[in-house]
Amino acid sequence: MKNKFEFSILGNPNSGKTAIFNLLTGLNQKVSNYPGITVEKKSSNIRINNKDIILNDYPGSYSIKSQSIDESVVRDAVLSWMSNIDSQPDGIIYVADITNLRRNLYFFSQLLPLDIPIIVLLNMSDIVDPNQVVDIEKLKKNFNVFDIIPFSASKKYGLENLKTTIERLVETNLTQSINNSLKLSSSNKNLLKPLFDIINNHLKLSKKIIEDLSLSIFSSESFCNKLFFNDSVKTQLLNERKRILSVIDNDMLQSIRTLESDLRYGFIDEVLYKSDYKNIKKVKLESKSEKIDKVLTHSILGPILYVGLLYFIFQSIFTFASVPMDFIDSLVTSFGNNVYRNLPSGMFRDLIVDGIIAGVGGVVIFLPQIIILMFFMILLEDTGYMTRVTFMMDKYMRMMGLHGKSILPIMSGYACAIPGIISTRTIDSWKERLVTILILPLISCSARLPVYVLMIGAFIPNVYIFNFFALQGLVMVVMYFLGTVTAFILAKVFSKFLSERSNPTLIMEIPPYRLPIIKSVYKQLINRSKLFLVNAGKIIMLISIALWFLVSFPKIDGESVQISDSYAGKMGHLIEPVIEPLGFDWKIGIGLITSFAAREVVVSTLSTIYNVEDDGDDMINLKDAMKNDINPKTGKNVFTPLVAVSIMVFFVYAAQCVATFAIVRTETNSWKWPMFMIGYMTALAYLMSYFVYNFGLYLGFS
Amino acid sequence: MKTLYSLNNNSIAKISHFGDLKSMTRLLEMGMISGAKVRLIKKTPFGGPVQVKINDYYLILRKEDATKIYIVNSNEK
Repeated sequence: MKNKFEFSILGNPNSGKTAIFNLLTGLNQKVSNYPGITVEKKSSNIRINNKDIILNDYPGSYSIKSQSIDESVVRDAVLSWMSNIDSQPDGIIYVADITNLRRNLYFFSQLLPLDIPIIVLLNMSDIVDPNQVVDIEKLKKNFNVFDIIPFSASKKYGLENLKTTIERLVETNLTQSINNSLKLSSSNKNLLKPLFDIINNHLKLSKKIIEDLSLSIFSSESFCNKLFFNDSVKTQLLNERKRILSVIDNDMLQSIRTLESDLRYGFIDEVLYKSDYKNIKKVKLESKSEKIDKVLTHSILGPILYVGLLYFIFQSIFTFASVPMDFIDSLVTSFGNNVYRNLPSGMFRDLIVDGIIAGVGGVVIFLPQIIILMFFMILLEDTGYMTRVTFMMDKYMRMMGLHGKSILPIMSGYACAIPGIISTRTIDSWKERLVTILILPLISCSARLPVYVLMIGAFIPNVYIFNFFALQGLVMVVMYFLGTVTAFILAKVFSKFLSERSNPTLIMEIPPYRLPIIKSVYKQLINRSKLFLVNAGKIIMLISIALWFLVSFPKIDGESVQISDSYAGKMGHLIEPVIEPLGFDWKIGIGLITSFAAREVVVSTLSTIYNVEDDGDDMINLKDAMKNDINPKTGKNVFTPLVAVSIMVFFVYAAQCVATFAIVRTETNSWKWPMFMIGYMTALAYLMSYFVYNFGLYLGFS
Repeated sequence: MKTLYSLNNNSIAKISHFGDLKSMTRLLEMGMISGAKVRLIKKTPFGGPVQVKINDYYLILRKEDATKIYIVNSNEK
């Protein structure tokens, strides 16, 4: 008897598959209240009663006829199970949302002919009691599936039952079950017989699967092209399909187009009827969420509230974070000073204090802001609000050459472009997806935040306009606004030059509002913080160490030269002529070079440069050092408010994140698009920064 | 003939048949089949998408799809 088993979790989008996967595996895959959060297959090993079980979590799907890239993962898996019995999992865990049972059974009906043993979980049982909806025993008998279990992923209800059921399935060593699937009437069989015969002559498949496939091919030409047949069989099938359709008279044609869904829903309704199904939620019933939406998606009030919310979020990044930031700042400084006092003087101490602690500490301080931003983003998504934003904004997004579903990637782009780019897979339009990817890096991500905060904190006065708008917060919002507006304008421009390859539309389920699960919010925040700190620990530490050497060497007669004459200084001087028109000196030049790896590195770079330059014993305050830095040539300040603004504008536009380009390469399958991205962003950064600096000079700023 | 898009907010109708729809397959799979009852919840301005309730859940679809779904009156108020 074998000892390794494979189970696949399938179901509609937003039905709770990933939450159940997390419960079984103890992992922390992201869950949310937005259809399509899982975009690729995730696998994990678990042990139930000494049996090794591989658990696969698939993206949600409404049907094996996929409409987007994430759904095609599911289609390809199911099709391979059809064509090759050996690739089939030992069991399917099908997650069905009990509050919406009938539609959840459509995709299920396409899995039944596989005759893989199925365990059905009726999820969301805490909201609706399954026993009030349907007779579970009868339902199980009528579908003839392995088991049906009431479940609640949020209340962990049914988990033990699920585990023992998996164990029971594994132990019975059931390789095939005989599910009760859709049976064609004799007239439909006759209609589909030519298709049936073609498949039957070419492949050894079960009669059930062939019948089901002929029905699916009959109602969709594009689906046929995705199948596992060779091209000559496909051509035969499509020709035969055309021939059948041509002999049918016009009156019949209308019902032929809807044949598959009519038959499937007919089959589902029949089984449900025999299982005492009670449709408790009628079409005319107004749900609580619908009442809330009277305000939140109101045609005028809704968008205003949304924009107000965004403004509140970005202002609060500045307001709420100042206390914890000051705290971390003083912690880093006193830690650095302690280390300084307790280590013998020499190069090693300089490397630790001026290189590593100054560099890494300079970036870690921005953790509170990133946490605050992430917290709001998670709330918007987990409550279900983001689906409403998709609904409200679709029209406006389309005017800009984007798609309603571009909103979620753009919003997550404020945290980091990478998850945003990955989540574009749910967009069914090739063109709109590509445009979304191309403009995403213009959305100010959290790596720009340290740059903005440093520059604003040091050079923008802390005053209030009309006693209400904090100037510092306002400048910050303007930076975010600048990136976002440019992103939309460019989206429009790019979409003029690209042609569509698919038939895009927007068909999306609006889930009920749900209270976010505190544990899930907390775990997402921890994951995100870890990522940031590990990043700080790896990339920034490495760059800080390398930079310290470049700044501290060469040594002449054992003495350090001026930074200006160090290796790093020479590099900075080399590019200074290019960046001087933007108001940047060679020190900022060094920062621009190092920040190509990741934007926040510019902060650690400046921190390291000023710490090495400083002869004193204590760690210096980066803001003060920048304020007091005088250019020896001109006798003027290196940094002025105008220079600070010019730097920020440069960072709004510049292409400075190696990880993003790598992801764009994988997602678009070509080097063309990341190259294009680097090109247009660099040009934009230079031009905009040049314009802002010189316009500022013209207005009389220095 | 009346289409889904021509419905007033909060009124219920039955789906009768479909015009030439690009995205018909997905709508059918989602339960928008003939005979199904739908209630129009709201339309977004400037010809944006509409929200409907079908069976027991809420769905949004674009105007160009909603104008090609033909409806008949339902006896339900």
